[in-house]
Amino acid sequence: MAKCETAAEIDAVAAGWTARMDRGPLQPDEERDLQAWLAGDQRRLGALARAQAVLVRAGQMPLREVSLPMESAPAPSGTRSRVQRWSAMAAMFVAVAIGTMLVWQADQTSTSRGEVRLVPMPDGSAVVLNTATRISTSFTDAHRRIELLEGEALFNVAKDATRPFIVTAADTQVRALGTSFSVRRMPGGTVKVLVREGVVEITRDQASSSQAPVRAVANVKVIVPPQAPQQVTELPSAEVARDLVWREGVISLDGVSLQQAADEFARYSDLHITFASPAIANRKVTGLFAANDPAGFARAVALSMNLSADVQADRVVLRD
Amino acid sequence: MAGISNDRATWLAREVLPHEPALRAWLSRRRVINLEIDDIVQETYAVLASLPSVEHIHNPRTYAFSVAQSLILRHVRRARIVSIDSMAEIDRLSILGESASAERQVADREELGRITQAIAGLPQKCREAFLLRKLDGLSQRQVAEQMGVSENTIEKHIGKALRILMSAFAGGAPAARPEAAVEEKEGPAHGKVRDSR
Repeated sequence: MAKCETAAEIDAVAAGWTARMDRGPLQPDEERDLQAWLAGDQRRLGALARAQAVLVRAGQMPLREVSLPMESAPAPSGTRSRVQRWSAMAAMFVAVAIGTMLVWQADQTSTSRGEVRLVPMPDGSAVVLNTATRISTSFTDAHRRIELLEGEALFNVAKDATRPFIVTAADTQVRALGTSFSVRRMPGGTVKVLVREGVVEITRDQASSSQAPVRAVANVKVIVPPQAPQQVTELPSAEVARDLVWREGVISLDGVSLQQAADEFARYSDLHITFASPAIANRKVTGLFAANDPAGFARAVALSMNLSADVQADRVVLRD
Repeated sequence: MAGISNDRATWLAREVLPHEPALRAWLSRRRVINLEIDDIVQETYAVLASLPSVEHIHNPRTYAFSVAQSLILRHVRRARIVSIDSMAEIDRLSILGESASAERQVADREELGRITQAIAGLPQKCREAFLLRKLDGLSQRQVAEQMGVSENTIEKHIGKALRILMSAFAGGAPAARPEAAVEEKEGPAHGKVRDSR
C-alpha cells in the first residue's frame, strides 16, 4: 500500500486521467499505464471513479448562467421555465434580472400559479412575487404604497426616509423604511408577516381592532388572524431563510405531514397530490423540493417511504 | 476500457456525489485518530465502483455511509488507525437515522451553489474550455479549434477544472466568495455584478 501518497495527490492524477479519457479513447500504452497506476493503491480507483462522476455531474447541472458574460447578458425571455432554472442562484438572478427584466410600468402586477417573479420598483426597491400573487402599487413623492391583493410577496425596500413604504393586506398595514420583509395572505383571511432585516410597524384598521401598532424586528414572524390579536414569534434566522426559499422556486418542508406538503404544492401547481389512505397522508416529510414538480416530489417520497406514486393526468396518488 | 463504465459514473454522479458533504461531515464526527477522511471517501468510491451491479441498492446514501463505516472498522481492525473510542462505540454508530430523500433535495441545492461558485472562480481560459466542453457539448478537439489552442492545452484546462470541482464536490467552502451565497444582501437595486475573474 502506497500509504505515503496523499488523497490530494491521488485526486490530481485521477483528474488528469479523467480529462485524458474525456478527450478520446486511450492508446494501448496509455491503457497499460492507467491499469498499472490503478493497481498500486485501492484508493486510486475510487478517486478515478469519483473524478468521472464529478465530470458527469457537472454536465447535468444548470450551469448556463455561469457562462453568461455578465456585461452582455441576453435578455431573459421572462418565461416560467427560464425563471425557474435560476433557482438557487439568486445572486446572479438578481444581477441579471435587474438589468433586463420588464420595466416597471403597470400599477398592477401578478404571477400565475407556479410562477415566481422579481419585480423592480421605480424607487430601487424590489418585490418578489410568489405563486398566484397579485399586487397593486401607488408610488408618489409622498409615499410608496403596495396592496397585496392575493398571495405572498417579499419586499426588499430601498431606504428613503422621506417616503414610507406601506404594504396593505386585508386590514393589516405593514410600514417600513429600509428593510426586507414578506407578507402572505393565508386562506381564511389571516395575514402573515415575516421580517428578514430591519424593522417594520404593523397596524390594523380601526374597524377590526383597537390594538396599538406592533413593531417587529428582524427574524420575527407576526401572524394577524382576522378579528383576533396578532401573534408575535421570534424565529432563528435559518428558519426565516427557509421560509423564504420560495424565491428560488423551492418549497421548504420541515417535519410536516404529507397532507400539509400536498396543500403547499397545490399553491404552485394544478397537479394535486392525493393519498390512498389517511395513514399515508399523516406521514412526516422534511426537505427542500422544486415547487413546480409535485410529481417529482411524490416520486421522491414514494422512493424513501417505500410507497408507489401513481401519476395521472390531474393528480398523483401515493399508495402502499 | 480502464476506469469505470459510463453507467456507473452516472450513477455515482446522481446518487452518491450529492451526499458526499454529508458523508464527510458524518465521518468527521467519528472520533478516530489518524482517520483520513479523504482516504475513506476514496476507498468508498472504489468499493462502489467495483460492485458488479448497483441495481439492488435502493438507498444509495445509506449504502455509501455503510460502506464507509465498514471501511473504518476494517482499518481499525488492521490497526492502521487507532480509535479513541472503543470498537463498540464505532459499531454503535447509527446511520440509519439519516433520512434519505429529504436530505437529497437539500444536498442537491447546496451542491449547485457550491459548484457554480467553483466554476465562476476558475481561471478564465480554464472556465471557458470547461463550459464549452460540458455545457455546449463540444469535443475537446472542437473546443481547441474554437479557442485557437492545442488539444493538449484543452486537456490540461479540463483536468485543472476537474481537480477544482472535485474539491468543491467534497463540500468545502470554495475559495472565499461569500458574496455569491444566495442572498442579495446589497439589496437588489444595486444589481451587483460579480467580477468573473
